[in-house]
Amino acid sequence: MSDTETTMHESAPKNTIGTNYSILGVLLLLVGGGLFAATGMGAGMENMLRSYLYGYMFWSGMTIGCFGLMLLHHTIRARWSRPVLRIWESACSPLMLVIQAVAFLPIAMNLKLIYKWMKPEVVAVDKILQNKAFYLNPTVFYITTFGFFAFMIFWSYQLQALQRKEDATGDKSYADKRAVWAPPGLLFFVLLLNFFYTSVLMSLDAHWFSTIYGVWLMVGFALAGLAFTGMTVGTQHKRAPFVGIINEKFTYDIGVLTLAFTLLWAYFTFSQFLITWSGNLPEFTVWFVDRSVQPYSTLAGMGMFAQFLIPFIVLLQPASRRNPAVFAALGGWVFSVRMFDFYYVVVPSLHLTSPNALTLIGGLFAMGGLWLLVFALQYKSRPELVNGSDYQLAANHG
Amino acid sequence: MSHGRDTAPKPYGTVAGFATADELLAATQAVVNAGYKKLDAYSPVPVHGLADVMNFKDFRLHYGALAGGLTGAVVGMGLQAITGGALNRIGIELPAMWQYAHNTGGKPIFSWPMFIPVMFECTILLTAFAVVGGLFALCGLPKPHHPIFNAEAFHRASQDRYFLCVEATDPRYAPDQVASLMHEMGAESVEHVMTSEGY
Repeated sequence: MSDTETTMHESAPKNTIGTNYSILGVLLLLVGGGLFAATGMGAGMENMLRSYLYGYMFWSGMTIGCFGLMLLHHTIRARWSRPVLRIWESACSPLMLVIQAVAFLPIAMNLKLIYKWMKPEVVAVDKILQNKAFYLNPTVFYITTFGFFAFMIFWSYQLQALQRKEDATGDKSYADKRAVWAPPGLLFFVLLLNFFYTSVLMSLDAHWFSTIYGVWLMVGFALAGLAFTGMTVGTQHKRAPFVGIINEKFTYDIGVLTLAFTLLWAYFTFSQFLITWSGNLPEFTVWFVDRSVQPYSTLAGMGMFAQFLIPFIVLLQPASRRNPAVFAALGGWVFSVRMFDFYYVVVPSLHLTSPNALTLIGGLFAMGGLWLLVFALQYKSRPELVNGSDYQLAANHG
Repeated sequence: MSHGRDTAPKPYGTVAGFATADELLAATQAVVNAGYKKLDAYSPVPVHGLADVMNFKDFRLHYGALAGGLTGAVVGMGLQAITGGALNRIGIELPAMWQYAHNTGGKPIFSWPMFIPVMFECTILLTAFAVVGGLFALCGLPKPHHPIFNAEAFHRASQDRYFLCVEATDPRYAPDQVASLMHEMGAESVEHVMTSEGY
């Protein structure tokens, strides 16, 4: 780091990520929790649990997306993403994962209230569910969900411990050790994630299936993770320690990756629809028939423009990829739209008997508050940058 | 020899060879700082930041690609919609030989989801044509001869040396000043290059 950089670094005000997200977290937790309780109490346990599932799965997806990005970072030993590695690490820290596993217990303990394949009287008259019973049963559900959590906790602990050792000692050889752990991690991650989403979300519509479902959600959450990251550091690029590090080259790189994930998301989303549409088979089209009523059909159209076309056009231009402020705004936009899109994906499958958007939003906000609070605490508890001696080199030649 | 124009050798520019990409970057920066505008750099591998240092602001190829892509999208969708008889729905009658309004799997005549893959492919195809064709046109390719080849050291430009040429068309071009600047920046070789007889 040159002298001017060091002075800039010292004179710039400290970043406010930890404080902002703590305050926002507490607010969301209170407002969301209140809304969820007030509107959900009268609707019965069944509706409350299913509404909770939507909010829970969105924020667990944020953790899963950031976990995937962290694995990707260590696998290819990326340099450009080092300034934001702490954000990904905080989002998928072992503590965060343990809290999410605990928050999953209300769902895991009440499968009968959520999944129709758990109801013997339904399965008894349903040939398809009888044939799927080898997978759609509590044992497999617990293995595929808690197994996934166990895997993520273990791998996240390994990678983050190795990163901490490098930060403490400055020994670059720890990067090699992480590069040994991360690639098999990435392999298991995608595999186990498919089982996780199949068990928890796809089995809500137990007759329907789509082989791209798990990867589709994974790409969506990687996109949400990138958008959250861009929004977070893009608004802090004039504050320590990001001055000179979150520069136009960084936003260019994260912009290119965001563009790639935007295209991949659009490709998966559209090809899933196209194959279903042209095949026109009842057991597949039912998923889209459920979504052809309001408000879901509006959300689907909005998804095409807000989630694909607008980010695509913005990110296609090098000038907007080079501007941290533009990227922060785009990140906030994409991150918000992801919540609506996830609403479109999950909520019709919940088959709520008395649907109430306020309960769903309350659950989403409450889980978001909890997530942001844990995120902020984790983020504050460690230095913002990993072992930063050659950031300037990375910034110039990244 | 006469081609109706003066083809006698004229000064083309001053070519300097450098051993590393960093030296090339530093030299390019120095030349730009000195006020020269007509210059070109040659390297065996892509050099990060070189385009920025050279103030390279030619976006004609970008716009060509965009135009190609948009044309492809319109042509791809239009081809399917028009030959499929979609215009009939908005009251425009086409001769029967232009229409293949088949009922395929009970789908609507204007089956836009099914048309998107073809539209997408046409977009990619015409974008690629625009980029490759535009590149050839803007670079004046194919070009069997270029005056830069008259530089002795230039045969290593595709191997392990980095070259910077300040061209004689630059209004500030002064061979000796350029040469001394290049030497200052650590050039291995500096040559004043003439155009070839007949070109």
